[in-house]
Amino acid sequence: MKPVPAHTDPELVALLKKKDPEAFIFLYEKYAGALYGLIEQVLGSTGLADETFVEAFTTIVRSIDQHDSSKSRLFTWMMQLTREWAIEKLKSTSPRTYSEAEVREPGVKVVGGLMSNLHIDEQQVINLAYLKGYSVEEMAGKLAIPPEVVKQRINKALIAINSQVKK
Amino acid sequence: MNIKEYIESGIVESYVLGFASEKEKAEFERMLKQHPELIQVRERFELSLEKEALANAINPPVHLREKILSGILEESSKPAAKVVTIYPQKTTRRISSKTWAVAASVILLLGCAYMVYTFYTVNQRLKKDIAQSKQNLEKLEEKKRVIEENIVPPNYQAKPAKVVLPQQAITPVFEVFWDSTSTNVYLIIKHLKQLPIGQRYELWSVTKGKKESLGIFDPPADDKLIIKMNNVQEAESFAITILDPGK
Repeated sequence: MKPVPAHTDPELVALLKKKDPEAFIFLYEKYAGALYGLIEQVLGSTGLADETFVEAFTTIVRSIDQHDSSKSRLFTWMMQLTREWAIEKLKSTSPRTYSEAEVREPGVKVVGGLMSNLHIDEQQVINLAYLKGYSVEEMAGKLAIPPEVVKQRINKALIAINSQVKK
Repeated sequence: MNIKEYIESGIVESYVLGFASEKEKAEFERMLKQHPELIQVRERFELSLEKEALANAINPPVHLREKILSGILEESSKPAAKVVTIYPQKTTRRISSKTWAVAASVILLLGCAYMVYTFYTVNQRLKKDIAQSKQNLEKLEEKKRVIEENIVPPNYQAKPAKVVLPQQAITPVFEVFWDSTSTNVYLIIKHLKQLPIGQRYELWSVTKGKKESLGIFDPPADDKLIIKMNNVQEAESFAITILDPGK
């Protein structure tokens, strides 16, 4: 693979909006693995990761004009789109069964480094919300705890992540 | 809530990870414009998240790279079309479009079934027509064969041959055509009376006083007026006699 030229975020976005072929290739080389890693964690057991990745990446490129750099960086927007796409895929194709293994999975790899100082209960709700797309009510039902407790755990987790980032 | 408290509430992480509700998102975006320092906080978390994601990257299967990039490059070389992101099965509208797809499929299926049925019946009819035509053709071929066997060829160069009357009883109501090239002999009967049972007519050729039999025949009971007789190489005249085995 030839070395890809470095672009700053705004440069890359500008080139993508101009449909610059080199920019598409750069985008793929730099971020395909990160997005595929996320999809694998959401859909790994379903065998749908490949098709979801193709759909999500193609959608990202097609919808590049919808990216608003005043709201987020390019990669954040890509990750949000990919995560939502994968979760919708998960919801539409598999019964929403809830397994013990799903709950007790080790911390989300994508944000794993940021979750290292979280309590296991906090990691659990972040996992379920981020990777499986469960709502607060769904988690409350499945974990047999009040929704308020779920909200508290999520909030504590986010604050802990926030303080981790500051360090 | 001041900006410090707002930041420490975890809203930045919630926003970036995609947990925030629409209301929270709108509020956060408004706060971004009012507090430039919030942008820095947001970007710091975005970068740390990006770093984590890149560190945990899993390379997709190699063949997907070609598939995706060739699709994108082909698409981007076409005139731009406005693209709206639609997530799979996200809204009731999505479900309704699925229903439409199912309905369309059913209609398409019914259409196909009808066409198959139509083609089948048309095909059966055509098959029947072909069989009928074949039969007709066979009948015509048979008729043609019979006629060809019996008719005088159009380029027939034969002359009406001199006919010797066998007996007074037979009036000259027949003609003999003889083609000296092909040696075919045709007997054209206008009228020959029916003979008693057992008796038959016989056609002769006569050459230098010698008679040669060209065949025995019965006067036609049907409308078959032309009879092909045996071929003869030479003939000066022809004669018909009545053959009576009893005599």
